[in-house]
Amino acid sequence: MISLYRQKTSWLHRLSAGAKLLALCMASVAIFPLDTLSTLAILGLLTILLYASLSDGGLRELKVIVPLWPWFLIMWLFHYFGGDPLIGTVAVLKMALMILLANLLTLSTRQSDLLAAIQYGLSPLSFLGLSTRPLALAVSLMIRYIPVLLALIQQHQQAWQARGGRRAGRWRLIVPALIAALQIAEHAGESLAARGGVRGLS
Amino acid sequence: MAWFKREKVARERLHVVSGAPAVELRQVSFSRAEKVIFDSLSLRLDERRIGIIGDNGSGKSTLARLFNGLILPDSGYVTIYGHESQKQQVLLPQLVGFLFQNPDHQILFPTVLEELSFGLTQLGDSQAVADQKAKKCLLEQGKSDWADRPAQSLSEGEKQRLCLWSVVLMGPKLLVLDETFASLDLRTRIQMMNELKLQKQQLIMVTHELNLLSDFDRVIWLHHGQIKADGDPLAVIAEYRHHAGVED
Amino acid sequence: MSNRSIERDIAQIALYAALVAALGLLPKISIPIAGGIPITGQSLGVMLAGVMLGPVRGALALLLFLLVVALGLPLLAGGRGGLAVFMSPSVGFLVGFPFAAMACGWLMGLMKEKSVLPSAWIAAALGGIVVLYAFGIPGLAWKAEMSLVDAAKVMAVYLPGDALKVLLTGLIAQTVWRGMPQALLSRN
Repeated sequence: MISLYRQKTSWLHRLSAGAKLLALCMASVAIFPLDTLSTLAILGLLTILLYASLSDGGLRELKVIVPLWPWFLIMWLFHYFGGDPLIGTVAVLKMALMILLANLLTLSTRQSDLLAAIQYGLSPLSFLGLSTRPLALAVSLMIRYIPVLLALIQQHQQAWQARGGRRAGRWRLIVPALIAALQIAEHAGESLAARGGVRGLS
Repeated sequence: MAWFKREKVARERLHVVSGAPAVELRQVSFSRAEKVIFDSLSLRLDERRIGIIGDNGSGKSTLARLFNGLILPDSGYVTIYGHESQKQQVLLPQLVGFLFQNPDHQILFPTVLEELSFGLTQLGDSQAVADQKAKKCLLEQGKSDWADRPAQSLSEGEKQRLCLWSVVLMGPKLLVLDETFASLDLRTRIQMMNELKLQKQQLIMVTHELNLLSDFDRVIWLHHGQIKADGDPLAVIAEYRHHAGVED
Repeated sequence: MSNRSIERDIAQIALYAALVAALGLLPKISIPIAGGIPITGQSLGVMLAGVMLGPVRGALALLLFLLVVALGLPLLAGGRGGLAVFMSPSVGFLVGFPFAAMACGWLMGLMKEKSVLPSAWIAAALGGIVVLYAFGIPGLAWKAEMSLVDAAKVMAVYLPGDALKVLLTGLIAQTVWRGMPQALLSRN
């Protein structure tokens, strides 16, 4: 399954997932109350430098904020017509900054490492008698079956179009996928139980 | 929130109780949705390779699921290598490996390596150790390049082999197959059977493919939850063929 | 077939989370503004998860979905994902997903004596719109530093599309009910 993780290594990739997660949290808390344009602009430049340091086209990853331009525009316009374009600029900059920083983590961290870090963070729960093993299982199962369900829906779409199906009735195509999801779940549950289930064999 | 309860006690390793047969059913009854599937069925299975045949709806798949604790009897006892399934439902997969009919339903993980190593982590190996053993298995099969491939990208036959290896890696004493090779073409089916015969485990195979059973040790014909014939494969298969109306 | 219910529950939750993802990944038919707010096949998935699975499993399916998005899979409309989406204007809606599913499921359960179509419509409308927007609009106002009123004005654009999704949710639930009633877990 494709992910947003960037395969090429960098100094950021080598940092531990937990450390990066913590750093991102601290950065969010620190940036939140800021409201001066100059501070944010400097931070913005630093972030761009961080992306550049990723080597091998790191700057291209800045494109993550591009799809959001309509929202930035709307935000800014509301403030502009409200009489305070400066606040609008600050708000847009802050949001772009946070998005870019969060994206750095996603780019440089394998999902399995991030999940392991989250499970580790949740490990105090084991004192309450709770285990995080079902979480990892559920994540894997979900990822495993996304392409399967997608293919199922698309197959039905093609068959529908081949039979000259009307556009209005297309919602029906979702029905087999809903039923399939539960039927597959029945079998997957059995397969899981047949290899020791959620509780494991040791 | 029962899902997240953590087991505080390390679970035991089940061993074969000396002298115990692989499978023993004593007066087993089981019903589902008010339909009686088994009524006081008794059976003792210990041969190296056993086939189970019968029409659809005969109870073959239900019977197979009694062998690894997926299904528990309503009354009576099912003992696997001396362990009662009622008492050891959770741990029976240590001893019994189960292969389902459809590999797409059996495979739980996105990549080949994860699928192979899962059973080992279930048995207590760390992820690193399990991955190592899984890679070794792929190496021995000459498929090291499979490790990071999405399981979905494998062919039907390849998926079937993945399922077999995933189960065998767990080191069970008994393999139960529920119409496992039904959807494969003849050539792949024969390849899988050959691979299966190389395994050291005892084998119980529920199947429609009568040809595969000719060199088995014992074949049982199940009909409406009762044993209609039991014993020499060629004899039982002939009887079943006669029942099915196939000219011999 | 088997009576191992914990495994079946986990599998149902994972499969529905996968379905929400698959619905979001389908090519869009028409969408006013690209990128930003996840109002696409996705919120249809939220309504369906609640209506089909009930409050607890529906909410857990959406929580699992959000977790996997946070881990870096591009499952949100427009191929977006990773932690960045939780810093964007749509964060309120994302947080609202599990609550919306829970509300849909809870309402379906309350109305299980009534006929499926109107129950599903009410559940989807109250859960998938009222509850979801109750999280989404304040979230937008907070993140974009807009007033609640302005945020509401922006989101009003999506109401017609969401009303359509409510309609579809009811029709889909009813179709499933007719063919396979046991698939509507929220009612059993």
